[in-house]
Amino acid sequence: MDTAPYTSDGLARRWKSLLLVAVLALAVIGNVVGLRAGVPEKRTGLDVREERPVIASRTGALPAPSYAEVGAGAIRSASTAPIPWSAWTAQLAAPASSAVTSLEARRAALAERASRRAFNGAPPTVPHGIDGMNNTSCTLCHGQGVGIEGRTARPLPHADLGQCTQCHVAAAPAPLRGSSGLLAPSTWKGKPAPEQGRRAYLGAPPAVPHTLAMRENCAACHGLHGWPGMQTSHPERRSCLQCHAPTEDQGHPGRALPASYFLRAPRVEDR
Amino acid sequence: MSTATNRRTLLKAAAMSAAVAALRPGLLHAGEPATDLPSLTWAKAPCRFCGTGCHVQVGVEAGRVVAIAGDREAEVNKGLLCVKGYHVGMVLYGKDRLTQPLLRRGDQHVPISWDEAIDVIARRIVRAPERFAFYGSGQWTIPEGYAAQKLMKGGLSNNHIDPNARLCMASAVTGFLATYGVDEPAGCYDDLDACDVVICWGNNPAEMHPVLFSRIVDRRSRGQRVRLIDIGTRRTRTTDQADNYLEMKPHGDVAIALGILALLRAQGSWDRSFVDKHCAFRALQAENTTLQGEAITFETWSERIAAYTPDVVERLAGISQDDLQMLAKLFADRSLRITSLWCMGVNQHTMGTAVNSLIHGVHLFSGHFGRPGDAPTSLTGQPSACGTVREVGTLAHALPGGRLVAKPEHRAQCEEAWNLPEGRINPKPGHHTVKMWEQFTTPAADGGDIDTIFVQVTNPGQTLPNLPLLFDRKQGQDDKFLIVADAYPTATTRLADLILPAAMWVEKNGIFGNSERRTQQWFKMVDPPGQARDDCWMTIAIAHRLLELGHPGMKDKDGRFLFHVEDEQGNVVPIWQWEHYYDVNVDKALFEEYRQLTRMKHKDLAPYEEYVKARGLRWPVVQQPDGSWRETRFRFSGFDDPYVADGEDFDFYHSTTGDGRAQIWFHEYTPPPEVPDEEYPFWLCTGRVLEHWHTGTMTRRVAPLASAMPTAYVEVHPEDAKALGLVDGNLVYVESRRGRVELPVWTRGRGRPPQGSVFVPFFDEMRLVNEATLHAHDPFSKQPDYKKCAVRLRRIQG
Repeated sequence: MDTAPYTSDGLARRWKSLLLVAVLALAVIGNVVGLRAGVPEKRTGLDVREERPVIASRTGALPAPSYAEVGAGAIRSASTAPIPWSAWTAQLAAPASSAVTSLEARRAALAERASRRAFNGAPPTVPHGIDGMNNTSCTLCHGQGVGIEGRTARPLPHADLGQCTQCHVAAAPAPLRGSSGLLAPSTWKGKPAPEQGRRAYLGAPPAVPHTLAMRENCAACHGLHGWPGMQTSHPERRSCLQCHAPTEDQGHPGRALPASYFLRAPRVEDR
Repeated sequence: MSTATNRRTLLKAAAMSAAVAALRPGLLHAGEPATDLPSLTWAKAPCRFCGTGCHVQVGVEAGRVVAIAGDREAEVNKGLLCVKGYHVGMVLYGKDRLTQPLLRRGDQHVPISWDEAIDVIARRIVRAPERFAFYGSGQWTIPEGYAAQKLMKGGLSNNHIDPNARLCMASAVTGFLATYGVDEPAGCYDDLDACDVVICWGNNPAEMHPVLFSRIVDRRSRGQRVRLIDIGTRRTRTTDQADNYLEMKPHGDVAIALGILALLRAQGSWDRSFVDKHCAFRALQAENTTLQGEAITFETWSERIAAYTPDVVERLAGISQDDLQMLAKLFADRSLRITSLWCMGVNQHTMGTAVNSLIHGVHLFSGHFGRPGDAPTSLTGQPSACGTVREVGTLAHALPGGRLVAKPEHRAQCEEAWNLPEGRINPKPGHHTVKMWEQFTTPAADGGDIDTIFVQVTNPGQTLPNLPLLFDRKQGQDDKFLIVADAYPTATTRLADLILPAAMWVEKNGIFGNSERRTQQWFKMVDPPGQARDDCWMTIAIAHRLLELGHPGMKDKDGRFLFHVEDEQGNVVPIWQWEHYYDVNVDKALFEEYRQLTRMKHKDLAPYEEYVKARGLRWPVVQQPDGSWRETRFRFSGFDDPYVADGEDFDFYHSTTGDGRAQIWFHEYTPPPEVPDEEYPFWLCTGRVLEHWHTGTMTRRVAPLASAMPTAYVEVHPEDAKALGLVDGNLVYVESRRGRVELPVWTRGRGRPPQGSVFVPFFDEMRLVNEATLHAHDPFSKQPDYKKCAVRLRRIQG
């Protein structure tokens, strides 16, 4: 991708430093602010911290540590081995230089993405263990997004919503594991994700093939920490809808805009 | 294919294109060729699950639901859902859907035809109509509940009809009736946007009403201040967001409410002007107590309440005197807007009526009432507990529109509306839920006077308290006949003699009514599987079979069938025949009949077509001079309620004292019926979790939900676990004097009970905690207490 203007080593290094600062700042702020949310619980003296269930996902997303663990300096990977900070920083993903645009990569990413959703538009399940009592730790990694050890915590596509576990559930906690909990298999077939947005003609900007509801932040999926094959080639441009027209709006009158409303150009075979 | 079916298909197709045209004008006028229309169509429906009443958009393709989205046009949820709501479409597609009627022969269930099934039920009823009972639900749609109500009370002169909502919000009803003389909240969800303080009374909305909880705490993300006070018996996800957590002893809520009232009185910080103008005082009689009690003077009320000093409250409720002072100080501050929220913690309570009334009393006495943000708001757990049970009145003592079977004028009004001969409706209340099932499971020789129960849209084999007494005893009593209509096999169908496959949610037309008086309509979108059919059709088909068998009650005064429906040309539509059921909109016909009965108590409903257009409307919905229909957000408040006279600030126009005043109650604290002792040393509390709704018959067929919460468990405090030698994952028996259940231990789990207290969710049909619970109930509401009884834990070796 040597045509991309933002892949110079210097810029990548600056991104790395910025990210590191952001992560550290979030951790510190989170520790001060986050743990103050809610009413502190009296220590029992026993304080057996629940074993954090860790489910290795196929992309191998890192288990989210809580502030408490960050504070204790005991961040653990999926293999539960402690990771020193230096190892983390060394593993911070190089940003947009890794943008992949191949169709294969996109299909692989779509399959991975689909494995966490009952249908396109369902809130994804959490592919790692979580603290079932505390929402504040989620934003530590997912607030701005972070790439570590080649693994990615994608940023939030929607703002203002603080109750993460209201919509996003993780696998069962350790003491409850053992069965799927399903009383019967399902014949459900969910709506799949579109492979790509429609183009009015070769070279036209693709239309947005999905609803924008709960996806106000395009960069969540298409930005630096976005999905392989779905990342934008031009992250410096911030006004996405200037060129990419929304097409689907889930039956809301007054908001459903047909593709032709924006793109009335003659049809050209898309090769 | 018969011509009838052809006609139906055509009608459906025409209706669908009309609906699409109405919903998506842009698409049809954009000049796009028809082939460019997406094959996916979206339509509105209220969510199937809780009483919040979120609207979803349902995506349908090739006759199947394939996607769900939050409905951004809906005021309730503004596009947001919870994890159950996002997956609600999947509840239709469990592989084990019931698809044909099944009759028990010996220890097997064998398929029979619908005609046979309806005949079996009708003959069972005809042989002893007074021994038949109908057990329904707050998940009944309004037309389903109305049809059942009319069949029982108007047709069979039999009042043995009661819903599972008796186990859920009956005490909320009695609290409203005792206080305002009329049921259901005065405020609405708009209060959540306007309040400065939210007090959760034994309530965990973060898991039980997540969208409402987000509506509150997401205000903080926008820079607004909302103080959240959690009064509870265990820490929950709600506590995690709270500014104050007041851990109370079980039953302590009664003392806390009394303590706040006593402090406001002692400190002179109550709202004198509001109380003088709009309130009166009340207490139970010394003996022969009634729901309405007797009037007492302010002086008598003051003397009695004075006993609940902070130190007494600290002893009874276990909260600190400082915390009680803090609550009293908040209520004394009229510059704040305070909303109270409660649900099962307050309702499933042997003093449920009392504590409901006392919380209303705290708001009335302090004047925190009727301004946006100042509201005592009772939440419901089922999607139409309000719409169907409370408004249609599918309770053993009630009639539609807030009427009572015991009142001659109310019976006469219903007989007139239903065109029935005078005296058709039985004046004696039927059996409430606990009594109904006790009578059903008691052998006839021992006085059990119910021998057939028809269960629709609920799962009493899992939700009744004290299952060994109220349900399990049915087994082996062959003269008792249990009929269960459901979508899936359940804990109840295990003992059923006849199982009927039911259509569910968007497989049928429906109307729900949510917790904020909002009536919500939807259309059928997909066909039910196999031979599954609408519950409402079942009721009408049974009624018609009874008519054929000669039951005189199935005809009105003029000899017409009880469910007489005509098409636009005036021809009778045989809606009792399934192939003709959708020739007309039966929901609309029943709703238009029913809504004529809603005006007496000023719960006015608009015509059906208004609900087709809206994402629900909050009653009273009153027609304006320009012909439009206006909903009401703040009942009894002069600035919004059209039934309060111009110039009046407030009017409680159904006041039990007939003078426009609400009642501020005094109730004496009485201890719970069973408390832990040496033999059974732990408090047991039961409830729900975020992922599962009620008995899990739907959510446990949805993989993302089931795998997130695969089994019930018992939450135990780490110190208690240590003392018993238990670690996480150990299996224990949770045993009471009534029964026991086997559960894995979870310390530091989803919720965190204090020492001496355990919590078990009730969603798991493999682990039935109601084998252990108590059936003691509130004297007025007859609602049992699922939140406190005494148990012990015993390690299962291995």
